[in-house]
Amino acid sequence: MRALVVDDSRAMRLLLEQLLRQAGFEVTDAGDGGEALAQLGRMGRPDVVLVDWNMPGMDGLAFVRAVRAEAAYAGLPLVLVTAEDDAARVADARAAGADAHIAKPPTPQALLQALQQLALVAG
Amino acid sequence: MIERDDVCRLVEHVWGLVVGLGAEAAPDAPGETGPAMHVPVRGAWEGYVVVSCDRELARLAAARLFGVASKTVTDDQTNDALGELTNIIGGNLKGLLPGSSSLGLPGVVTAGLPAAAGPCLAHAAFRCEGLPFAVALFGCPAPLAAGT
Repeated sequence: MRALVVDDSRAMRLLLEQLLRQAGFEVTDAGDGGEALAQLGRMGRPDVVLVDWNMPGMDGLAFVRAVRAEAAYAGLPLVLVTAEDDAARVADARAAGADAHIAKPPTPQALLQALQQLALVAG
Repeated sequence: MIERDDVCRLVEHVWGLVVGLGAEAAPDAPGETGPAMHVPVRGAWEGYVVVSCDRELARLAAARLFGVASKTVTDDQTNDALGELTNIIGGNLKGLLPGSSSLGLPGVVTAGLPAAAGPCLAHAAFRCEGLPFAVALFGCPAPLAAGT
């Protein structure tokens, strides 16, 4: 299983990478949405993408919309990771095409729950 | 509008989860002793959340987040870690504010707060490993411009 982690904070990327590796994933990362789109082109289709919402350049919501506009990535599981966990933001994320969301700070339990929801790990 | 006890409870929780070290409210702790980051809040409530931190504590937090020794932490790593902590604390504090609003990007507080910042509406000081840090909310008298 392979995951792509997208966050402008290197510290948060490391934290998410550590959690994903504990769940059995190989992890690649990117620092913003534009870099992540390029990374997708290089690495091929991962099993899941975890993407931060607030980033300079292309933010997480724009990245989700860009991925959903590409037929090659149809059905690619996208998880928004955000410090803003209110209902309006979650609704915006779902409307853009995100499959799940995780509130910051991410915990092993929240990540596992999202991966289970996406049927990427056993429940 | 926002209770100091709620701020303390939330910050202690977030700090513990992210840094992995306990933080306790400490009204006697000095407020601004080292690097500081701000994150703007726009929407029904407009203002800034500011996290200021003792320099040694900022390096300790960065060391824990990056999995390196404190003495090897760079300024970039310190700013990255403190910026992300400010983002997470700001996002969680936003849930205590009235109405719907959104966060901007964290920035370093260099020569004082952005000009748009108004009065301090809430301030809470903490200690972690005996070292001080503080969280403050500044309201804005006028709406923040996009990209602020």
